[in-house]
Amino acid sequence: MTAMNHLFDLLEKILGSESPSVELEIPEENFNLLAVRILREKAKQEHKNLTLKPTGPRGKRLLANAGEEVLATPAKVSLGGVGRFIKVPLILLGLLLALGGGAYALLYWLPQATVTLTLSPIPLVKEIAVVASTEATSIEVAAGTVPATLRTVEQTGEKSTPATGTATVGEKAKGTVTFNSTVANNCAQGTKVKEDSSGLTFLTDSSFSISASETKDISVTAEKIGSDYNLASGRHFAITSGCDNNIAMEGDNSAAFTGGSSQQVTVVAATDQNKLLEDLEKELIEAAKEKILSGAGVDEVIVDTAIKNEVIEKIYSHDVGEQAENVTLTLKIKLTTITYKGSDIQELVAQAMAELVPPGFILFPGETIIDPLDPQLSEKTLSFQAKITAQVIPDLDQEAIRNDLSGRNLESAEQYLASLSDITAYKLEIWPNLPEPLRRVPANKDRIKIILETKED
Amino acid sequence: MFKLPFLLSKKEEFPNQFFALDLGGKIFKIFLLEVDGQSTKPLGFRKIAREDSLDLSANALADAVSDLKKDFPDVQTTAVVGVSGPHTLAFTTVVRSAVERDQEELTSHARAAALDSAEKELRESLGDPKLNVLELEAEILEVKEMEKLEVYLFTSFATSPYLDEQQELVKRARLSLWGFSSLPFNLVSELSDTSADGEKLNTLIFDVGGTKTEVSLVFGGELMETKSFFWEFSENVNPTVFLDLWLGAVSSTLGAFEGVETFPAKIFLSGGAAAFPGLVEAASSYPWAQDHPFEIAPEVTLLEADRLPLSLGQVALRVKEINDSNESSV
Repeated sequence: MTAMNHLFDLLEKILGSESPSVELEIPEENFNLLAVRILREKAKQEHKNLTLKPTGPRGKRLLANAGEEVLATPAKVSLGGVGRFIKVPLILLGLLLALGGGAYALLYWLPQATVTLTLSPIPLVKEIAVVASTEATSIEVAAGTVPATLRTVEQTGEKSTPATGTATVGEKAKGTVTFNSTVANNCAQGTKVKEDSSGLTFLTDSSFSISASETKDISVTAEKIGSDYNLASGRHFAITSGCDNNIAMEGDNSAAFTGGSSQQVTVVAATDQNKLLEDLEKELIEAAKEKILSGAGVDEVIVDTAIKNEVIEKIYSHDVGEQAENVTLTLKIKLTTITYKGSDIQELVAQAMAELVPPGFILFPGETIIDPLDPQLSEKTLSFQAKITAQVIPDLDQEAIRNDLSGRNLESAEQYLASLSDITAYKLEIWPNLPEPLRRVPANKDRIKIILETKED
Repeated sequence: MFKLPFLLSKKEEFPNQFFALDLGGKIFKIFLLEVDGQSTKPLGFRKIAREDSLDLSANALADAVSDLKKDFPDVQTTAVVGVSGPHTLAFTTVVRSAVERDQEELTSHARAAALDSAEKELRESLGDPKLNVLELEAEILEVKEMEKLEVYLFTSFATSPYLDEQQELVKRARLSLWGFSSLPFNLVSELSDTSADGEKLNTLIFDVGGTKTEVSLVFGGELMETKSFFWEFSENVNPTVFLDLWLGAVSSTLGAFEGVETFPAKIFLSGGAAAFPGLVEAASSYPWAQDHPFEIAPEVTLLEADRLPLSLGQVALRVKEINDSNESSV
């Protein structure tokens, strides 16, 4: 999640808050009036009292714009009392007193000052070894350990794909060759017989012996499938191997050879199975990850590169080479990972970084980025190097600044802010926006809001 | 349909081939479109991710356009840029003359009032009282002459900083910016054109972009109003919680449309992030009628991913229609 998705982050805070009151800061960018309405409605649904605070002038104006609708109602009601002046003077007197007290209270409680102090941050980058352990029950800074949860999910799925392999199937042609030999000869089963004009080879179905000058009918079968072997009658054959004396033998067929045939069929290719496995595994892993995410809490962190995947069951409907139009894979996988709480790692990091922060400086909240490098998953632990990128800023005494500023007029307040040595710039906004001579920082220091921002030189 | 002089303010003739750009918060979509009779067709396209800075984004866009031009070396550099989101507004105003006025006077008055209203709304919505707001389009959709003259005027607006950024990107891509046009307006035009049954379109459109969500309300084939909020779609979240909160935000947005007696019972989902896992199913099963005036549970339909930017072809068709009608009237 980038820093940009403010609305989701804020809604999540309302949802996750265990307190009946929620205080949220309105960001300055990528936020609009409709978002304020969305937050209010969510808080209402969750039965939470929502307080929205601006972090800058834009947020302040947004809240004022949203609040105008609310303020409009009492103004209309107060107009109705004018005609009753003579009849009910006591009520009016009470009203005047109430208004006077209200005005005093308003002057004390209503004005607000927002002081934005810009600081020059010192970047801090450190890598620490972190072990998220399922056996740990608390954070141990020295060992870099945080408590973790082992999460295992099984996911089963089925996927089909058309088979893309091809194969030729069919029958071998058969026939009879009448042989004669000039010498006595013994021939083995499978003796190779070659037809002169086509060059096609046939094999004898059985062994046989032949005397000199004898003729003998021998059954033969084509070497390969196909109709090409259906030879017409009257062809001449020679022996190429298999007899004692191959040269002394020859033959011909008085009847045509028959029964040879062939056709192309679709079969399952190895690539079909491989692609099916790759695609389905990917789908199941995504589904299993979602299941893990759904089961984990909002604050739970899953390191995407530390998820172990095992195939438990893999069944194909057809083997490679088997004739089929489609092949189906039924697959069952098991995903295992270890998750930990984002708040735990933040606390670990804060403590680990504390020793690196120079005296007089503090870690700037909200600007720490934790990047888990080289995660290693084992049975009970997830270990990684946490690359921490943080900013440290001067530790300003905000309470003292509030005290010093309270009650000052605009000129005096600006002189004071300009005199602060640790800041590189400041912005002072006072509400309501009265003419300059009347504008003062509120005497009530609780109405002075200090916002720290960083800007690198 | 009547047209205002806005679309004719450009002196150059609108070319048959032009670039249509949708420069979103996460993805830049660049289409090269060609006018083909009464429709347009894409000749080529590129999609690239928006970079972290304007400089890097501009360079990436320039590279993508240059790469696309390699396939079409003779194409002109005219570009139409689609706009949408929280920095923009698009709405239809119905103006009735209280006294006898001619159409031109009534329209001029309505445009001025629409600009005032848009300026006020965008300034309040974005919390900037000095924000400069510009009119992008103004088009008379319908004129009824009953007892009083009644004009249906569509207008769209955007803030200066938003347009400046888009203009800078187009300039750095070495394209010639013809103009900006409201994306939801063009999508509504296209959906109305392709409506098979001839009935006028009544629908809600949720444009789910990478960094914003925009809800458009369409009645009688006309875009009545749009409302948007910033929302970044990210994979790195718990999807159930994420979608639940997003749907709640959309529901609150529906509540922000004032004076709607009954919402249309149809919702189109457009935009690249509408493909977020489980979003269509979640939107289909959400109890919209529980908090809002729907007569029946709305039917949710996912539009093709590029339907929104491709609808910018409607701009060319509108311009050419005006040119043709002007030529025939001379």
